[in-house]
Amino acid sequence: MPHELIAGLEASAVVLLVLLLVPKLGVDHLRARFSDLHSGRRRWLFDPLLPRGDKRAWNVALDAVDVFEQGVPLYVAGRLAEQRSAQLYLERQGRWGDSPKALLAAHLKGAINEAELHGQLKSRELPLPATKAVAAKVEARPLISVKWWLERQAMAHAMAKPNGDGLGKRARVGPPGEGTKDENEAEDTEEAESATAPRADPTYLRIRTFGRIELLQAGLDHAPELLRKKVLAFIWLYLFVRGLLEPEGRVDRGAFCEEFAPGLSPERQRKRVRDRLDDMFNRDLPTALTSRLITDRTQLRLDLAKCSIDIVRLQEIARHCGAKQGMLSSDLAAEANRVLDETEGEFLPGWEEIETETNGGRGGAAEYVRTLRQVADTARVDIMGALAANHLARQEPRKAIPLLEQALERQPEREDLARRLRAAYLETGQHLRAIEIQKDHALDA
Amino acid sequence: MLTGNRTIRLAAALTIGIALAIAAAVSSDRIPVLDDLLASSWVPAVILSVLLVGAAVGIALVLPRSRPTSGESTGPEPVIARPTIPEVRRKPAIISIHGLEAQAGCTSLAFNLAVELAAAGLVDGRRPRPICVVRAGPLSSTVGLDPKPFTDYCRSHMAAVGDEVIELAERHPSGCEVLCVADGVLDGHRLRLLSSVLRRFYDVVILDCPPGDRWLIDSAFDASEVSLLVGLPSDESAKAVLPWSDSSWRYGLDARFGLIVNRVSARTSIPELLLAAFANLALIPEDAAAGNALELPWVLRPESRAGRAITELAARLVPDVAAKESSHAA
Repeated sequence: MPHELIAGLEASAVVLLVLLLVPKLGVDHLRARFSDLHSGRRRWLFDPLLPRGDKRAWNVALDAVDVFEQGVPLYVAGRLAEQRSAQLYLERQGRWGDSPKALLAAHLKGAINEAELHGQLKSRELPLPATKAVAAKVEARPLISVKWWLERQAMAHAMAKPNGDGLGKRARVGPPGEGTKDENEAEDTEEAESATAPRADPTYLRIRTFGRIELLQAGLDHAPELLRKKVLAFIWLYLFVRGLLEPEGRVDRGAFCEEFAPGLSPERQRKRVRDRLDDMFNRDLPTALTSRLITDRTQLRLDLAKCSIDIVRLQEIARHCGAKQGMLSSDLAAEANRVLDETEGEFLPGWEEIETETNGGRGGAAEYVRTLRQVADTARVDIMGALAANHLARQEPRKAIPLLEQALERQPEREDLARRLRAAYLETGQHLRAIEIQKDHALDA
Repeated sequence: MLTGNRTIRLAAALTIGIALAIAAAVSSDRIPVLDDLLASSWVPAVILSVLLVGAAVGIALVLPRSRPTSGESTGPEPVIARPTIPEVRRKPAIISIHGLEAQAGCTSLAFNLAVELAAAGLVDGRRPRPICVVRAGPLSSTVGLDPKPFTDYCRSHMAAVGDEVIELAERHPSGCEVLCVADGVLDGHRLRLLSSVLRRFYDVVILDCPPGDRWLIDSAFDASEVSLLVGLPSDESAKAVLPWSDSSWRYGLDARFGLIVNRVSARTSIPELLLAAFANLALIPEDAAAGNALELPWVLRPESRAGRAITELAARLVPDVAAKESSHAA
């Protein structure tokens, strides 16, 4: 056999190997393609398998062309990844039938009516779709004595009020859609609920958040112990803030993991949260704080029953005062002054430091705290305005002026306060200041 | 066309291989090293080749390729990176959507997002109630959404928007509501008033913002926490995104923007300019089976690639409200 032929055969064997190894098509985003196949986001590595005929030999030839085109390693890896993706796809298809989306799609296509849709959702213990939003109707007050009307309102409120401690819930920032309802419900219980009565209970927790953080139970302040451990303080206070903002304050565990350790893989995030919760429960925090922490596999929350919370009290008093539209009872005015004194200072001071130490300030928790600071600021301004109105109604404009000036300094856009301040200036003979305030706030003459 | 390309590609690879083999055979006489190399490597090469072919045949026999199911798209799948869209944590979430060109898919996207959140989201153990303020157009008219009631309302309430405006929104069976607005009816001031009412009744407010009115666009941006710019993989969108990109970088607001490139397919390339405009980017694949989004939303079609992408987008955009484990999610 000639030497060239032998060499040619040898070279062909090597070239064949190379051709079998090397892909002959564009392999852009290969890593992303495999990653997507692995997670089920993608069905095929390259193109889907197009319908083929019944000719076996032809199909084998087409497969051989695929192998040659992709190269054997890529072909094998792709087929394995596609297999996993197909399994995930089938699992997803299996779950789809029972999903609310599938039921909804069936309803939209006319296969089931709305009653059947609701029935099927209920039978699967799935929540029903939201109902149509309805604007609350403002009912006119019947033309009876104001005193009788207030008594009836108070009685109706007392009857509607559930047993147990309702301190936390009523003052929370309610969920959207229920805002108007809450406002109507919350009106007009004459004096604020007694803040002292429940404290006889040894499990009662008094939470002070303005100026400094205090967590008092049976005369013992647990806050220093909590604040020494910044990471655990973050967990406790984050759930506390969410509890203030939302009824029940349930926080999805996955979302909290992302909040707690942003940027890590979900597994590491979960592990970190699990470890810190173990620390909290097992050794690092007193029972007074951990007993309120309720966790399960999907959610976390802080039980705020049997608590008195200063920001909640602040909002309650602001609402009571706001509802009066003028003169306040001496008890309510005294209580309002006391609450103003108690809530001097920043809400949750030192939160930024805690957050930065825990997650580098990369989460959304600061936004929640900021919201509550704004809520508190508005409530304080409302109380100052109400107290000022009370002084004006009692012909004490000099006492109203410092309150109004302070309130306007915090919220200069409040035209109602500016009007009151102008009235107070006029009544005390300070005409130049009245003109000034009129110009500054573009008030009508 | 694709088959033709494939044939040419494979023929070229074969030709190059044969040419290399011939060249090696011819030059092996003159280059002893090459001759030795070929002599010592052909046996392992043959063995490896046989093993590789055996592996390929084995895999092909054991793991047959899955075929597209009925309704599933048979077109090539584009590579869709996971969305990197800013999160909306505020409650209620207000999201404004702006189109970079006509027919970019703003209304469809807005509506699908709202349906996704309404159908699979969860807030305090209940389904959320989103509202989608959509522009009147061909899509809205096919499902009988009428912008006239809101237009009349605006005419009779020149400077105020009361709670009763929510009665004008139509409820979709998913639980989301849709308020259809004709172009030119909303202005910046009215949008502010409207959003202040909507935020009291709804968990999520999605504003499909009409183009052209700078004041309205600015007001929508101010009212919302995140603004989504919807474009197509086209030069027109790439041009239109530039002013947005410039402004956002100048004012340091880029973290509040997300660019959505709609109708991405495996056969079209996305202009580099478009991809570079914003750090936050999400791609929505083209969906042959999509149809009118308002009739049967894509997110309610299990086979819809666009629906899956929007589900992912919603989970990223509104993590507190969106479904944590959806049947659409991977």
